Amino acid sequence: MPKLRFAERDLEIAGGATVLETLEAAGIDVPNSCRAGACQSCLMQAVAGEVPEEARRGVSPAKRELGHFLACVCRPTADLEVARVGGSEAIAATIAAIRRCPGDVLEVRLRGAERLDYRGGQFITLLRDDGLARPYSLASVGGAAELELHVRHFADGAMSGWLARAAPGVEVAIRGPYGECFYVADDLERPLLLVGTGTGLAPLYGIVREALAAGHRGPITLLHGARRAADLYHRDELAALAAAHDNLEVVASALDATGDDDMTATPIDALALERAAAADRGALRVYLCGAPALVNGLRRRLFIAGVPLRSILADAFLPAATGGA
Amino acid sequence: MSTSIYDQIGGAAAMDAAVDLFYRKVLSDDRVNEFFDGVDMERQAAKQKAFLTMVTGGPNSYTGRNMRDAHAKLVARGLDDSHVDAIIELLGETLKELGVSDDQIKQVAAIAESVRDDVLSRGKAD
Ligand code: HEM
Ligand code: FES
Repeated sequence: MPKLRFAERDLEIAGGATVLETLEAAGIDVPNSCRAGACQSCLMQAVAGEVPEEARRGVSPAKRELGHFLACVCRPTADLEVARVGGSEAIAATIAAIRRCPGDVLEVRLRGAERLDYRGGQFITLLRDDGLARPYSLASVGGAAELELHVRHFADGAMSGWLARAAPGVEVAIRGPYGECFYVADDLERPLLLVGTGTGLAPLYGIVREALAAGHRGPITLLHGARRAADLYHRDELAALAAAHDNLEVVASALDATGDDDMTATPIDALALERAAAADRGALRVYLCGAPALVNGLRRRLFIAGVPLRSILADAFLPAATGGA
Repeated sequence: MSTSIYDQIGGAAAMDAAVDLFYRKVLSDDRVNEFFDGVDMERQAAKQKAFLTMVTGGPNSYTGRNMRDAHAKLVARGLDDSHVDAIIELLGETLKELGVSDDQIKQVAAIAESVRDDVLSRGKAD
């Protein structure tokens, strides 16, 4: 009979029992509601072994890549190791470099976390040795030697204020990765629309470079917005990327753009809706990152405008989290 | 016994298609959208899929008690018969767009009706 492994315990799976039933029989609580594979309350993550397709029906492509499945309809036919979604241990890392960019943004590079298996666009929690913790998105490409974070520096920010003064060589720890905002190479021809404000560029910068590295051929549009033109950072890096790839267009938007600074004053949400309307909405995949008002508002408007919900991947930076750090 | 409408219209795959249609209608309808205004749209969509699966007679193990619990907070926020009527109307529009016959839509509406009192926390819990 197949075995189920969870939190270092081996459990017998009674004939035909689901993962949910097996865990419950062992006294392990798993959130659940419909118990029929529809509501996704019981989502778990496979660590090792095969999950029957039945238990992945309706699970988004990004979640599938992360091994997520529905425990209430998962009847394993072979040994399976599972975990709760998002659990992970802390990994030690070292600050390799910190660069000041426009818009009070710090580009932070971390070394020593090669063990971290991540995708550009996911996020990690950065932990200081006294336990202070803040989430940051990964602007680097999965597998790169150094992790790249973009940290908005606030004068009174506990973590960002500390990072602004931290010297290379300082030890930190990271936990993660988390999140589903990353490139999935399931169709190299589909149009991609990436929209971000402020340090919402960080995940997008990771995603766009992973897409290009994967040989994505469909048109990619990256919209980066800020209130003030002076706050748009990484403009040279993005221009170089666009120059090297015919299918990539980068548009910078700032409310005070004058028109002769290679930017537009059209608000970023209007640009995004315009681009989505012109694209093949069935194939389009959209990434939204940054201020919650923009991300959540735009997600809703794009969905109502006909973009499938599954095709909109969003990462809202909550103020207490990245924004206020 | 005849197969459920859930099976007739294509089972789980049809529900995935229906949920976008239905949820888009719900969010665009000022009579009910305030109840669905959660930030976590993906979670909301999953709940709507559970709703669609249930009322089309697909696999589920919801009880009247579950329906009370799921909607108790909404009742506290003013959920009443007019909202249930609106949801049943949007449900019918969704199914029509998917090619479901008027007859079948009536059967689905009847399933939704059967839990109206539980959804609105009325009468005795089972
Ligand atoms: C007509 C009969 C109805 C049925 C059969 C029904 C069924 C369901 C089901 C099965 C769920 C998922 C419960 C879970 O797994 O947690 C659900 C959740 C929900 N329903 Fe209904 N529903 C009905 C009416 C309504 C109405 C009239 C509204 C509001 C206008 C509504 C709003 C919601 C919301 C917002 C949720 C999600 C609650 C949460 O976030 O946990 N429902 N419903
Ligand atoms: S409990 Fe609803 S999908 Fe598993």
